[in-house]
Amino acid sequence: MKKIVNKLVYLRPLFGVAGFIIFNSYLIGFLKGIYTGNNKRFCAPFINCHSCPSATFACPAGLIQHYLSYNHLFKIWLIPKFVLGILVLIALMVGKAVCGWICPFGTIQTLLYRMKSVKIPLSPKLHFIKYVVFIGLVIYLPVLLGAPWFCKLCPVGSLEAGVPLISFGAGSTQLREIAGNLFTIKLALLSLFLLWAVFSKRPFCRLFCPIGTIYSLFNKFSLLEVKVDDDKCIHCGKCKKLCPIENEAPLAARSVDCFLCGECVRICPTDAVKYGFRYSDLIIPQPVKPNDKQKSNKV
Amino acid sequence: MDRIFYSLLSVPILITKSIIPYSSLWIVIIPVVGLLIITFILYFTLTPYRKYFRLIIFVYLLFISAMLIYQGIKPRPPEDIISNDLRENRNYAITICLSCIGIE
Repeated sequence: MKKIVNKLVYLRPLFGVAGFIIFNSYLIGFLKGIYTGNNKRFCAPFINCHSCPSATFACPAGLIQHYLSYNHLFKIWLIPKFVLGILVLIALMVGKAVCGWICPFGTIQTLLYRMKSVKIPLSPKLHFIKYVVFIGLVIYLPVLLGAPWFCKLCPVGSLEAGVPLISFGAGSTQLREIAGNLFTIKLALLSLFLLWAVFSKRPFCRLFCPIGTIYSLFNKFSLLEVKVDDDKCIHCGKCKKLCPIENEAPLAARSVDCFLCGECVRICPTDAVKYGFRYSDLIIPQPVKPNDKQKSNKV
Repeated sequence: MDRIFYSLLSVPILITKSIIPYSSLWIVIIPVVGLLIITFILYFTLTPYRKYFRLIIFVYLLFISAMLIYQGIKPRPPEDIISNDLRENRNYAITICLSCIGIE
């Protein structure tokens, strides 16, 4: 089992590619225009711009902002019930594993970080920024101004929709004529994040992604978790080098920001870290370890 | 303590059973959210029992998400074939979002 998990973790970028292909399989859209089928009733589990010509599902962040920008916050039927329900359900099942395993933009950042360069650690203390971005750009400004403000700055939208549609998509000449300062700002932001990802681990995911923020709210309650046996941990620091949030496994696994990517599971020399189900010890009684008996006798 | 846990777990089921035939599911969701808030308070105050409260919160959240999904996909017959939510999602997602491209 351990070997299979290790192999899967090693091949993790392939899952990101698979995620991109599954949710962007309408390749003919680059010639004909964006997909308008019934799949767009549902949303992808990560940021995946639905204005991308090949996108087959809606973007959850875009939908949330769209509903909120109606300016009817107190009409309860105008909240995106389906989108919120799906996001909460996914978060409860697998937590932030979606970000760690199948998010395409996360995978791009992971691969960029593998390039040889000077590495700049990003302090976990900065993680509060994503809550500010979420409340400010995804909730407050759309309600106040009636426009999807996160989309206006979203680098994923620039990469998947802006650049392809303006450079070679259907109707690109007209779009090129009306593209203004906002497009330049979006391109600058995209370049900034891609460049930053070479030096720091997943800066967009850790500091700006609103869907990752929603998932991190439920990360401590998710069914899937990374379990750390503190008695076995020798604090060698190997996991810290690979961890996307740059923490040792005992700290990272108990953090709301853990991506459940499994790098610590793969690299741990003492097998102190492993995947598990959070409530398994409550539902299935665990056998008492000899160490625990000794501890209770001492007490 | 066991009784508290079991009663907290059974409340949403009892509410659902009693109310579903008569009115909107929002009337079910809102009391569960109230219970969720109370459980969160207990989760932060009764630290030795944190893992049990975590399970209760998990069950409540699972219930709320299931109800939200159900509300989202439920059409209102006879006039609707698909739900308002899904129709609205598609109507928005099939148009090119100018903000996403970067056009003011």
